[in-house]
Amino acid sequence: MKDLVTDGLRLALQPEVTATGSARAAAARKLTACFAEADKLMKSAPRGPTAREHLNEGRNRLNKA
Amino acid sequence: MATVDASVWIAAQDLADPFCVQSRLFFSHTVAAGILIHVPAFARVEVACALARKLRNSVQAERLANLILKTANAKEHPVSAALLAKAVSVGTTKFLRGADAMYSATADLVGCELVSLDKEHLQRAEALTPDDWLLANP
Repeated sequence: MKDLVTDGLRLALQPEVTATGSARAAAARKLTACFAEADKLMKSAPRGPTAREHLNEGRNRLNKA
Repeated sequence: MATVDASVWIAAQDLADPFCVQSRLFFSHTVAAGILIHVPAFARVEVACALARKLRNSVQAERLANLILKTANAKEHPVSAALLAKAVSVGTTKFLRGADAMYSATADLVGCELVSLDKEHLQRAEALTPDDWLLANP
C-alpha cells in the first residue's frame, strides 16, 4: 500500500517537475539571449564610463575590482 | 530569494564592467534555480536610466532594462508606506543613501539577503557581492 502511494505521488509530481525544468531551461535561454542583445548594443555605445559608473557617478564609492 | 541592487543588474548588461561576468553568473544561477528576485519598483528606473546614459539611446535602454528584469524573475515591490518607513529606519541606522536604503529595506521586509556591488551596501548593510552570494548559496 505504501509503495502504491509513493508511486502515485511520484507519478503525480513527475509532469510538474518536468514542466518546471523545461520552463527553467527556456528562461535560461532567454537570459542568454538578453545578454547577447546587451553585448550587441553596448558595442555601438559611445566610449566612456561603464553603465554602472553612470549609476554611481559623483558618489565616488564604487567597489573597485 | 534575494534582493538585488541596480548595480548588479546594470553590471550584467555591460561587458566592459569588471563585475559583468560575476553578475551574469549570479543571474544564470538564480534563473536556473527558479529563484525569485525582489526589488523596489524604482529599480526599473535606475537600471533603465543608467543604461540610457551609457547607450545614449532611450528605446534600447528601456528595452534592455525590461528584458533583464523580466527574464531574471524580478518581483517589483511598490514604494509603499511600509517600505518607506522601513527605509527610513534602515537608512538612518546604517547611514545609507536614500536609494540604497530602499534596497536594504526591501531585503529586510522580504527576509532575504541583499546582493550588491555598492560599496556602502557591502560595508554597512551586510550585503553580499554576487560571487559571495553564489558561494553561500551553492
